[in-house]
Amino acid sequence: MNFWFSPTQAAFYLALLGLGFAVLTVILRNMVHCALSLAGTLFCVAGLYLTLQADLLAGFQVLIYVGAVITLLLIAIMLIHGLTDRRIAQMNNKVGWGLVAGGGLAALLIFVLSSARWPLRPMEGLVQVNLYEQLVALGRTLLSTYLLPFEVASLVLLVAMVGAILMAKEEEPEPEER
Amino acid sequence: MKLEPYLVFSALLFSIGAFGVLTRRNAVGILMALELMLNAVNVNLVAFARFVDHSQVVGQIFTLFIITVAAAEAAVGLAIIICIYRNFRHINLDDVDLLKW
Repeated sequence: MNFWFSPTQAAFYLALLGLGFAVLTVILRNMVHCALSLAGTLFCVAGLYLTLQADLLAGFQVLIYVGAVITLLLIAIMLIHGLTDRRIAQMNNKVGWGLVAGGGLAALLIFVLSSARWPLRPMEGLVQVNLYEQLVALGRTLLSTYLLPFEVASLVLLVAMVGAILMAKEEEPEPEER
Repeated sequence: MKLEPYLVFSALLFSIGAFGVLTRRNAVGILMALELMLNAVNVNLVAFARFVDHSQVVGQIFTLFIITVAAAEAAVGLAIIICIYRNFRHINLDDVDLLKW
């Protein structure tokens, strides 16, 4: 197959685009714009999963994050008054300290990363994996070694759903004593 | 293809998310910055699964769990935010002080 970009180039541009959208997500004033740029970042991360040959996760990323979480965020933004008003300041007065903390964190992480030596796999293992075999291996591992966390995750989802409905439900007035 | 660029990308994404969590006033913005941070962790896990892990799948499975928990967190978080909005008529977290003394 002939692509416009090699995977390395594609990953580079996707990373740049994703970081740009991420910056927009945290600095824009209109929350709807923030949610849309968050969707852009999530799409770029899905593309990075593709370059890392995690196709299943790229699909899940688009389905769950871009499909479900962004929709949920947008609906919540529409329900809450004052989030789309450009005249309201959406940042607190600690932006300078936030910059210092974020920049410091980035500098610290990159300093640690640059000095670390990872036990990398041999390079011949990095050829194109068979996606079908990878999918089968993923399913087998998920339903054997990680079966208990898998079931717990489904329980977490159930509890979260019930809890979210309970909390978001309009409180009914107490029935009067007869 | 190398491991380090992915780690640098993920570190930068995490820092941007941390900046957002620290500076946003409203709860929805904080939740969005939190999603950025979770995604940075996911990129890290998938990159390590690709370049370090011999079975290639364990990191992806952890990422699946994180995506699950993030979805649950978004649902419950937004429900709490709507609950706060119903009581305070705003979601400015600096002024929500029910649990402060």
